[in-house]
Amino acid sequence: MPLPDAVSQPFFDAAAAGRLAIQHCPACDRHIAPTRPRCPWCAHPPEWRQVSGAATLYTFAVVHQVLHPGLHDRVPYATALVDLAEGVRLHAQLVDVEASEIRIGMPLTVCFRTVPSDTGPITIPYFRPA
Amino acid sequence: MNQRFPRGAAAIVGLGVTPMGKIYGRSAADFAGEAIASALSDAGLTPHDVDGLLVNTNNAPDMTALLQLSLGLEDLTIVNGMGAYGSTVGTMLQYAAFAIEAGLANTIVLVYADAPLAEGGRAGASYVRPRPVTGVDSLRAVYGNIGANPGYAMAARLHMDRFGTTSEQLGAIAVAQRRWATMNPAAQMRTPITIEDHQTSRFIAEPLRLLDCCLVSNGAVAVVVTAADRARDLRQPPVPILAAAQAAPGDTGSTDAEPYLYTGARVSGRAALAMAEITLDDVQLLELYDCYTYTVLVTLEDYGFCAKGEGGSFVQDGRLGPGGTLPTNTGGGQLSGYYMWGMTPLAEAVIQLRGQAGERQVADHDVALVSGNGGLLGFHATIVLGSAAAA
Repeated sequence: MPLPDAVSQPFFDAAAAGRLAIQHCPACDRHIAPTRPRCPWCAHPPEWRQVSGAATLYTFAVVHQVLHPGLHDRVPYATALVDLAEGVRLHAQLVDVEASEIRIGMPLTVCFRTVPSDTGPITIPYFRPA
Repeated sequence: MNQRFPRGAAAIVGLGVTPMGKIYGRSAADFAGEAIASALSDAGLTPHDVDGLLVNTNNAPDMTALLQLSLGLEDLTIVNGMGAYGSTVGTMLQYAAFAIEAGLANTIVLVYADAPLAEGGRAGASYVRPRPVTGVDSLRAVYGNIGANPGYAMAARLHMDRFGTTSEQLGAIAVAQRRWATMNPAAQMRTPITIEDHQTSRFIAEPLRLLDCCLVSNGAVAVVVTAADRARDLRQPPVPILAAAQAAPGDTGSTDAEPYLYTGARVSGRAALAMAEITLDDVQLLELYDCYTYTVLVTLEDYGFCAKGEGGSFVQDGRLGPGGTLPTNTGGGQLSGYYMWGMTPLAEAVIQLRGQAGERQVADHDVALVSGNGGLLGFHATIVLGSAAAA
């Protein structure tokens, strides 16, 4: 279940508004992912920037094992790593595509879905073929 | 960077390995006590001799420095719970060697123990323990990426896509290691398997199949480390520690880096060979951390036994198995022997270097390269051990 915290709240706020926001270091002019309290290269406090949502598929796996009781009805499913155009790699899940059609390098774009959480429905990003 | 090491100053003088696998009703600390008693007896030493204790921290709540108190050890000058996941054993040996050489302690016990299996549970399920995480990282579980299996599967998929590695080539690793395990009385899996068995074993997370994934074990392994000159007077042939190096390249999330393909083995391997004053050609035994077949393949590449991307064709002729040119995981490893993190490859190296491996003894057994791998390929350690003749 998604558990937003103080550092990542802007990420979830942006997702609720249908936007993908990623941290950015103004000193290094580089994007940072996943959320970190400080820039990993220069320790400057990061700012948040909306990004394009464009990505390519870096790699994926089709999971058959039931890793959590809540996933019992979803196996097999594909979990993925995607490379954003802005130069960072995110954990993700693909939607609107059959597992047999997934290809490393395929162009993707962000979309948003609502999932349950302890504090009510929460909107999070997924990726679909572009 | 010029990393120095007190090559040969310390040696492994005792080894204790408990029965392994589906042994229920005992805690990790209980297994640890048994392994330590066995290791001390093996060395011809007693608890009174012990003045150092290093505990590999893991998922077991009783594997901390507090183990000293449950064991009742007194007057320690080195004690710690150390944690770098699957690479920890290499780091414990590194610390122990320097501590012995500096006179901080005389007799240091290193231990790994775990008891994740409970009666009635399934092995794989028992080992998935979702950590409470928050923030963007909490989405990994929402995306179904829980535990280690999906991440390693993604790494293997990437390697296959980039370099043409096949599932059958991963299977060659599993088959070779099972051949060693059939000759190891301590191994959990002793029935031979074929490539076809590997190919028909069920998918865990594609492309990884059941036979690509390591075992889960209840049990413990302990070793005793002392100064080399003292080692010569004890019960067993000493196993000198010739090198121990660590590397953790990190993962900043930048698309510039590919830590699933280029691991810390590149750095720790090079450092360890330099510390030990050897080259790859001098290595006669390979005991590699094998949480997955893929881990063995990428480690072979990153150590330089073959070029990046060629690991599949390198292993497919079975050279890692009995009678092959590169004996690897000669007790069956974590895939077929038992899963005690970094103690699995270390224990087998000690047995082989002592010449005590019986039916599976490798004829030339003077230099062993031992790897540790933790997290998602992110924490690496390389150890070089020698036989008594190599000291």
